Amino acid sequence: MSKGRLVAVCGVLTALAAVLSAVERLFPLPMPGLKLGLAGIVTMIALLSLGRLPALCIVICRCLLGAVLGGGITGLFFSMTGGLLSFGVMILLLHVRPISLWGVSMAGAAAHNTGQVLAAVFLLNSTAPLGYLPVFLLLSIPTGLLTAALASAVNGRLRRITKV
Amino acid sequence: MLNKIKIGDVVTVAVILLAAALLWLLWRPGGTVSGAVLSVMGEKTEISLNGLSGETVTRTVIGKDGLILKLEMHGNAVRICESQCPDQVCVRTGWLSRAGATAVCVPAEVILELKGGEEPDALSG
Repeated sequence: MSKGRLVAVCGVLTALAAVLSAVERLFPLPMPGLKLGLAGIVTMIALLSLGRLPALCIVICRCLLGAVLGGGITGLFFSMTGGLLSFGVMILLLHVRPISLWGVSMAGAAAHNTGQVLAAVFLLNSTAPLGYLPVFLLLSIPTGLLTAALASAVNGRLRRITKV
Repeated sequence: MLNKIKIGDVVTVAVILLAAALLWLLWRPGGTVSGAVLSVMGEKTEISLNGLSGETVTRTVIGKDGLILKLEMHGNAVRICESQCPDQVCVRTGWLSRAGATAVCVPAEVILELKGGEEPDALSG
């Protein structure tokens, strides 16, 4: 892939991630603080089709954009902690043979939610937010499955574009 | 295009479920309520809930960045009923009626926690 094409694809994916985060904010789930972590789909796609470095850049740009688009500094802290932790877990697990995309994605979602709760623990200097973690962890299973299904579907189509 | 499920995926699910179950057991709200603790930007205040059985009492709290929150107390239950924060997580938490239950507002740095009578919560404190 040429450099220009790589940058263009990164830009499209970053925009997609920012839109997904914004859409997510419009549909708060009934449980407090819960977010679907839809932006994880983009992280997954980027990891599969572009590699680690572009994927990391997309995660960081998405978090910065999210802060500008209304998340603020607190939001930035939350999304960065969640985003980077889940990114780290995903690149580690992608190399573990007995784990498929499903497991990687679920672990990524769990890491994302854990990261956000830990950010809240740090920010509030209280262990109270840990009480939310069990529900967050349980929900990371369906979220992770959804992410894996969507990411692999999109990845197949994206390959046709990026390989030209 | 979808991958086959491997053994590691099952292990991942098991680990997540186990972690959730352990945390849930450790942080499970329960026991009798002795009072509430309100923490605003790290500053803690005790709220007595005695003798409030019939009436509903409200209280206004000013959190970080001047965000105003309204607390409501009724019987042995408390809730954050209004907040100027953008995400409204604390409001959606609803009524807290069991010891150990918490409502957290991150933008305003406000934590509302119900304290238990007998069993002190070893881990949160």
